Amino acid sequence: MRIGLIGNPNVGKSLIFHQLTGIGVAVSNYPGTTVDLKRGSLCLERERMEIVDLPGVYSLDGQSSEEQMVRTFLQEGGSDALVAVLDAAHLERNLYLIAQVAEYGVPLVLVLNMMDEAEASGIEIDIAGLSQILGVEIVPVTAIQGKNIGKIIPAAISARPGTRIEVHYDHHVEAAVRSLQSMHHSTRLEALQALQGIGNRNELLESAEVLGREIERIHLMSVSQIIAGNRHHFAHRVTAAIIHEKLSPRQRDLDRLLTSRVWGVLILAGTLIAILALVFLVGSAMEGLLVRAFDAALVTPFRELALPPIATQLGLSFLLALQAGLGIALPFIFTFYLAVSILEDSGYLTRAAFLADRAMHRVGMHGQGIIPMVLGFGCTVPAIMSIRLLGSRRERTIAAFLVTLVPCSARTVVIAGMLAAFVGIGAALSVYLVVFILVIVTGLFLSRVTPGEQLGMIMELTPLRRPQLSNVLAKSWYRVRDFLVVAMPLLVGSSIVLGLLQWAGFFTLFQEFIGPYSTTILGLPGYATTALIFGILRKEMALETLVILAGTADLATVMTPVQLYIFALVAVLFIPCVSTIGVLYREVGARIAVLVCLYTLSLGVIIGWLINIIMT
Amino acid sequence: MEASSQEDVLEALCVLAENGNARPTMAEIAVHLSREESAVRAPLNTLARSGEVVIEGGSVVLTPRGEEIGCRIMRKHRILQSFFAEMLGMKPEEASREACVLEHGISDEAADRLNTYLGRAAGLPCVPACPLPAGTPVLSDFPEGTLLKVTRVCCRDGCQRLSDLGILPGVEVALVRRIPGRGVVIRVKGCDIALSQEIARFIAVEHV
Repeated sequence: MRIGLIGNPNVGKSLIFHQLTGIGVAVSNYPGTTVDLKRGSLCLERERMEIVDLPGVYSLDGQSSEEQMVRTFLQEGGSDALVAVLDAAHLERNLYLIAQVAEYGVPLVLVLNMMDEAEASGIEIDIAGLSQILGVEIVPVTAIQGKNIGKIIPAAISARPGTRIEVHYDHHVEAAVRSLQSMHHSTRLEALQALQGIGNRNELLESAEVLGREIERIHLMSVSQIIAGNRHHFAHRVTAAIIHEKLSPRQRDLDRLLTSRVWGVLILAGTLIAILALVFLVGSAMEGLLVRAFDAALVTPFRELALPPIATQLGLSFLLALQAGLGIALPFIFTFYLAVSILEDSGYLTRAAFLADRAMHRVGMHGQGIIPMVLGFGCTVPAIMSIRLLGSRRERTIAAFLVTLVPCSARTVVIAGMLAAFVGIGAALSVYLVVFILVIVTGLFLSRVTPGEQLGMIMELTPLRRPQLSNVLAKSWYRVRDFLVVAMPLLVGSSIVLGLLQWAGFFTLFQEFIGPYSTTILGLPGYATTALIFGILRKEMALETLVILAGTADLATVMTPVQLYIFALVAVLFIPCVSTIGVLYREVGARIAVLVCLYTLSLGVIIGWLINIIMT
Repeated sequence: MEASSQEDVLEALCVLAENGNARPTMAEIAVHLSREESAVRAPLNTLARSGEVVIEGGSVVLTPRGEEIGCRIMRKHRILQSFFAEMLGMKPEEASREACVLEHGISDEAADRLNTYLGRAAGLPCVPACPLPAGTPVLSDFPEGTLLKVTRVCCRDGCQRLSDLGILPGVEVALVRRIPGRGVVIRVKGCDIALSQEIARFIAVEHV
């Protein structure tokens, strides 16, 4: 039996999903889209249940990729029963979606989540009355405390098709639906959708358009608006009947501060800087410990085994990849995601997006775009994963380029380790300035040439809540695991390939070949270019390899300050690391991934070349 | 003789009369109908016998009864033709050919209703939600804390999300926050919704 979890965004659906399925969650791609459908399974009374966590949607008639995906899932009969999760504190808005869900006729159970919040804000819901009116079973839960979660699946199993949820539409709409049904032998649902331009039966859509135009002329409103209005009216009528008490809304003093023009922006900037500093400090400390422990426990003993050269090379490449993956994943990504999950769960992230909207607009994105950009300072991989939050293909494309440019913590290591240490702090900071300018210029350029319309931001400010530690930890862990699933195989694979090339003496040939170009264009010795190539594996490996190839950790003795500066800048800019390329491919497709690589490669070479010309 | 060819002849006489030729010859009627003169002679004789037309010398004149029938058919033809052409997007000549067949079968009532339908479609001014007339008060024009009623929502096909969130004409919203750049936060159905200026400036509102 397969059960779908459906509901508005931010109603605690994912939390319930994790509670129902435990850790047996696999992330799978739904065919044809980049949006994930999470599937998990559980056993109940010897029967295996599959639970599908559908992305949060406000409606089933919209055009966003999430909405289209959920609609397709329902149309194709993706589940035997649906569990609709509702926010009890915002019941009316949530019932709007339920009015649409019921039209699909799948057995339905409603879960009223956040009963505690509803209670706290003085909302008293007559559960029995609601169940009576809607004709479905209702399970009130407080997911954050794990209250009543166990009752959800049994209720879903015993759910039968047919509810009393029926929206009576405007009589012109109803007449049009009847005509379409008899003219084209369509179902009521198909007819309703056709009136809103949804579906793929051309003759049905054509008739619907003619009828729809007539309705629009009478009402001076679009058919979609009329239908939406009728559904909202239904939701309003139901809630009015079963919510008995409503006290004055709670205090919003904190929000007044968080979104104020001056303080809000200061708080936002302070929060971001604090997170970056925290992640960098905690991350580098943890990374140092991890890498050293890894060396001591595995790498050194392995070297001491004195295996044949090829085996040593392969083994070391493998260990190196594991070390690189863990060295990024645990210290930086986990710490970063802890901080971001706290911001997310508290509801602050939506305020941040709201405040940043105007600035982000200049570079072709909207407020929500600030999230991947900030994440990019930690690690580019989760940052690219988060661009799926952005509404349009256009924004995702622009974000893919800009996020890749943002210096991640590994690149910060290069900047700090080479420039701050050997050239000076001013030189180190100037790299950030160069990147910042490049981000702006790229954004201005892309916002002009990227196809697609710049749509405005419509975003719900989620209520401010106290984040729950267990939830924050779980969420961060799921994300780290997502990273490991994507990045690890790539890291291991490419590390072994590089290792084999090195063993085969390829890099000696490569150095001879690239040396002259490297010297003429970038003013760098040939081995520095080889070091840069290793940076593709993990950016800070460019620095580590350089130290090995140069034969000294005191780089100032073998390279001039200008050479160090060029090396650091090129390492920061040129081709993203292999994990980033992998995740770019997954999130925005091969074409954009290749374009991003080519763009950053040429940026790196051109900027390095320019500096070489200017400075020497 | 079939009723439809008699109706065709009456209709032709009406059209010719409308064009200033109230006493056409049989040859002229035949040309108008794109038929042989022999093919119109039989229906004309039938119509003359039943009193819809009078044949005087070489020319044919409609009696009041014939004129009534003919004009009714002509009107049906025009209603059907404009329905096919304007509402269904058929080519004018195909619409006319289709109308020639259906004009004989459609009842007076259905034709009248179709006409009302067309008339309403064409007669009422089409008021698109966009663009809003200059000076229409929109969301970002009011101070924080104002209670407002949405009067019109103008969007280039991006209305769906707004409708889904309950931002529809006739709905009351509270303006919670404004930020520089004319973005706003409004409260609707107990939820706070942030809108950037490209959206906010196309939502027309009035004081409650």
